[in-house]
Amino acid sequence: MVDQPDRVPDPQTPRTVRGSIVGGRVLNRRDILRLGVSLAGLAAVNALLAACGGDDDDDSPTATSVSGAATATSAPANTPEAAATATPAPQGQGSAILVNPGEAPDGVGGELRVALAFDATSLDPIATYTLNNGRWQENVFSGLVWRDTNLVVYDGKDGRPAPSEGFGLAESWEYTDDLTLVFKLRPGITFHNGEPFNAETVRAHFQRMHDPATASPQAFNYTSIKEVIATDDLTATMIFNEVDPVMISKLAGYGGFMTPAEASKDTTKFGPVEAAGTGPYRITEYVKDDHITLEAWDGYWGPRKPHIQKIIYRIIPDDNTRLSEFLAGSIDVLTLSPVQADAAKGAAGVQVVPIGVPTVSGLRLDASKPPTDNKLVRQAIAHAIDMPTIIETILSGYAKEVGIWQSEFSFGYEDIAPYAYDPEAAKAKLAEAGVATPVAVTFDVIGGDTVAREMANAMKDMLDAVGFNVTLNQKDAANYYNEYIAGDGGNIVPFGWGGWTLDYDNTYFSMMHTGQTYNPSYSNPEVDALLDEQRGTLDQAKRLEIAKQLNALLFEDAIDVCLYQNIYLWGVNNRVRNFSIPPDERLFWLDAWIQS
Amino acid sequence: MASTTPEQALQIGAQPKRQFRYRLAGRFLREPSAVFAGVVLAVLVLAAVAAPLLAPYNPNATDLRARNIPPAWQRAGSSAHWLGTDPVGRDILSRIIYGARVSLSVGLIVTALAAMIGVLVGLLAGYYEGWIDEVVMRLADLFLAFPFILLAITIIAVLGSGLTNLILVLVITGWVQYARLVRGLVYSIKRNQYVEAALVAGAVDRRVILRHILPNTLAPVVVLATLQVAFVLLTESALNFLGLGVNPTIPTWGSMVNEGRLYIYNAWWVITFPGVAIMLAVLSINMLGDWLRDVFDPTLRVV
Amino acid sequence: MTRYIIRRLLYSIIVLFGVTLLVFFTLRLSGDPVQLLLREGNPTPEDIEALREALRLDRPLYQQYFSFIGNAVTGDFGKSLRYKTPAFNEVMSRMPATITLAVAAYLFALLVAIPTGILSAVRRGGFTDFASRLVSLAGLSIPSFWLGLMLILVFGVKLKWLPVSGRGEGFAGRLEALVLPAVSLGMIYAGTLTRLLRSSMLEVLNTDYIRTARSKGLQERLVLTRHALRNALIPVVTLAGLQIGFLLGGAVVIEVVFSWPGVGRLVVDSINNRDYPVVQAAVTILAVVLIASSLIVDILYSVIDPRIRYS
Repeated sequence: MVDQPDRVPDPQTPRTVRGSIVGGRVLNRRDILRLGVSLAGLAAVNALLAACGGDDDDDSPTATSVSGAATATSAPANTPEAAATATPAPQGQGSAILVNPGEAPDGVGGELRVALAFDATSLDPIATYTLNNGRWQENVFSGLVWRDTNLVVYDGKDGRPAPSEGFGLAESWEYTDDLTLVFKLRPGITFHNGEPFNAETVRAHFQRMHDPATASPQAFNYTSIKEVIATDDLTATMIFNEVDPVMISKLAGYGGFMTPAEASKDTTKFGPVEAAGTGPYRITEYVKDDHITLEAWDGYWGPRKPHIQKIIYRIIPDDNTRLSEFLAGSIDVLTLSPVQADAAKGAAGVQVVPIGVPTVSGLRLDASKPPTDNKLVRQAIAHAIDMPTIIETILSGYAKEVGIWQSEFSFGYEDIAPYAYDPEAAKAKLAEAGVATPVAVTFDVIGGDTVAREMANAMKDMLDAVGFNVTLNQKDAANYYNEYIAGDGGNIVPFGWGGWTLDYDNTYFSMMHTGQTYNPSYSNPEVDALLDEQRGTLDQAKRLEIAKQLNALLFEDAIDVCLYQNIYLWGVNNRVRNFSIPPDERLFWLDAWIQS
Repeated sequence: MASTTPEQALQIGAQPKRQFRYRLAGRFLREPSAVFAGVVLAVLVLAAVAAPLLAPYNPNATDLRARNIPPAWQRAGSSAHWLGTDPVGRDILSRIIYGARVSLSVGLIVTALAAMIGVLVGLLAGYYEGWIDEVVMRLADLFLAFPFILLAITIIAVLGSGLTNLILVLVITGWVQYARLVRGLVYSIKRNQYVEAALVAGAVDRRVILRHILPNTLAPVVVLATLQVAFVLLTESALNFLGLGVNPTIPTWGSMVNEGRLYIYNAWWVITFPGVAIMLAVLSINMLGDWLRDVFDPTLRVV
Repeated sequence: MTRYIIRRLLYSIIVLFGVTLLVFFTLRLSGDPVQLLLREGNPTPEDIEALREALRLDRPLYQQYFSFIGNAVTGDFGKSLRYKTPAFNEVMSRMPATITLAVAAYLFALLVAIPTGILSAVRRGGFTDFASRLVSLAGLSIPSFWLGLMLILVFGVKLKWLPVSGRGEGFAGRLEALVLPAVSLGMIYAGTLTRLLRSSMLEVLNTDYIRTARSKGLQERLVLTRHALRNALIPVVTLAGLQIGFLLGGAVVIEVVFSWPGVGRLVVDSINNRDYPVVQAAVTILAVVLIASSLIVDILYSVIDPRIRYS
């Protein structure tokens, strides 16, 4: 494992607020794009990585050294000082885990098979918005800006590599004023279909994205762009409606992936079954619900060429079948559920690599319906559930308990001890609340999610033991989501939130501020005032002060309890060499190779 | 025309009753599949009825510290849990015993309701023909042409998942087969001489249907019913697989099999024992159905 | 006969109309797709309303229904909310996979059912009957996903004889990939077919012409294959026609377990995302296939077996 020490600040903004919903078969918790990823750029997961232990020995599975992951404590330098005053919000940094390091032999060859849980639904990068697609898109498409698997943006500032050292399509850029950004493009680049890449491409790309007829789910990220002018063949001038300090990061991927001007005019062809980019791999086949095949493109302009000849992304919806394919050796790379880790670890020739992510999961308590409108009842719930044991058993230790809805990488995070597991204290709280026991509460469960069912069963027993009477309501993922948003969910709703912007504003504003879509039930004027106040200032010290007040208020209010930060598990066949696992799921295969 | 009165016809049917019963027992014992099915079903029904007495533990009591314990005969097993424990530490044997109660009663309730509706509708359609027949048969075609899964998802999405709604889904689609079967039977029975005789003798419709037609449809209906109980058990597990099962606190064999799915490589017992329970039950019920059909009429085609 | 066919066609249209009505309104009851489409963002109520308007889901239900019917007649089922491509094309693109699997599963079912059905009938009541029915019933008695998982575990992971899932590459690869899902799906039908063949064989064996054939001293094997089986297969063929419809729509679980890109999976994914146009298209198309196949079977049946008359 290689830990990338470089920590690079990156502009962030509260407007990058996004979340993910923990889901079952449809809204898989890994699969919904945490908007933060597309915007935030530099996500940090250092602390968990540090706990992963450095073990370069190929023969000993990485996973063996990972048991301590859940106890990682060292937080990254997400201090206000780390953020330049010019940037409105602080930022994090991340580092990838390099699996089976080693230089590739000469030439290109081999076949890599990666499992996807969901169909791409479209090959047009601006037509979709899921992390699932992030696993292949970077290999086919390129943005103007390059961000590597350590989440470092190559902008040439503060000691970071210059744009020309990366794989972005712009050689350099410059703000001529706050609202004008001029890109110098790399010359001589063509798309896989032979179309040239030039300033007209950039103009047409954003014009297409903003065309209401395109209905791009990415468009709202780029609303600050008023227009793009093709000043000359290799000079694209971006004019903004408003100052957008995060634009450079946003151009590194997703909606920023450049699409060919001519081909993309035909929406029946570009997207549904074929698409051309400028990346090291081109799409040679896409069969919906089955597979996407990429092949090394000999016309790639980059300073390094791909080593793997063919990459097949197979769409395998069933968790168990994905694991079986991995154990049979017919899938090389996949993500595993924590409950599958044991089965996968025992297999020969594979590794299970945990990597921490800033997603936090927990229970949302509905403050608008009885009995959870009573703070004491909410605190009783928090005390009644034995989270350390649940994490250790059901999640196989692959999670870290937190006291507030912030990952430890988030600006504003505090190491607040969660409500301790204490059945007596829970009973006392219920007595103090003066409610008649058993207290009836409803608890939503997503039907297709085995782990969610297990946790719900265990939690029900713990709650019933202190005087609750829990009714588990199983719902399908779509209803679970729709009912939650409408405020018709249960007293207790299990929930997950990405938090990839690594700033407390992301989570707290969307989930705690009155009237937000993701906050159907909680309203605290004090919290609202603090959240509004921090949005009006660029003073990070002040924002941190506000974060601390919010943390204390929200902890006391116990709206979200039993929280834990997630850890993803990547299964990697040892055929795959020199594979850098990024913390944001955006796999980039240029430097990896296949051992024959 | 009629050479016997309806009453005479019935008496003819009733005469060898005792002899028939005796022969039935004899045939049962002579057929290995019937004995096998009978023994298995007796055990399962006993488990269902006496679940609280037989089950060593509360089927829903979780114990995270005792999760995924292997069955007693395995090295890491414990005699405290004969068939081991599931991923939240519930005793698998207790859940299978209680699961028999839930799964078998769901199967029986669905079958009883579907058969009642289907037989009634089929009798009316077959007896009166005309517009009732047309409406019923088009409705049956509609349900046959409509994907069951979609109906299941919709009902569960609208009404929520629970045993009642699961039963509702299965009954809504289950009656069709009975209706079609009974209608076809009534068509031919109606043309039998004794029915025509009864009508000529001035018997009212209700009497003809209940006394003369219904009894003659029962044998194939019973055979179809045995097959449907089996179908319900399997469908319940498929719905669980698709995330449309019952609430997690209700132990059913189908939900247990589904809960063990992710552990097939490291805790095989979680999926295997409830799976074997389903398999034995379905196999036995099918065999019983086959045997009943052979007894009634070996060439009876009920699929 | 012509009048019969015309009447059946008329009925089919009524049933089809009923199917569209049922699918349209049950879907509307099952939940709102607009919020789900925007779940990845952080939509404001205005965003949600704007999208609802853009998708024309703000119109009164009866208007939506009539425009759905009006367009469906011309084969236009609207655009998939998820794929943004014509819903009809999405369904049809999954058809080859589904049909391949259905046909393979049926062939497997026949392969099991014909010998076991004959054996059961000939040695009725004996141990052979018991054993052969046990075999054919065993597959029918296992939850299909469990059977699929076990087959994957044994033949895909442990023995590595066959691919775990997917459609495979090249002709041989495709055939190999077809084996496990076809067996898993076919098992369900093998039991049914065995049972049907057994009873129809018993019926045929009791007929006069078989007795005559036997009394003439014909070899038992010839009696069975030449005379009995041929006649006993008629109802089996009938059932085959009817079951094809179920095979097309009912393979969801097998398609998920074996990552098979078929219509069943598309329907379930589309329901889960409340992708109305795709579900409507798939249900209507499947209903057409089903109704058509049962009509064709009925007509063929009357051709094969002249005893059957339609009034």
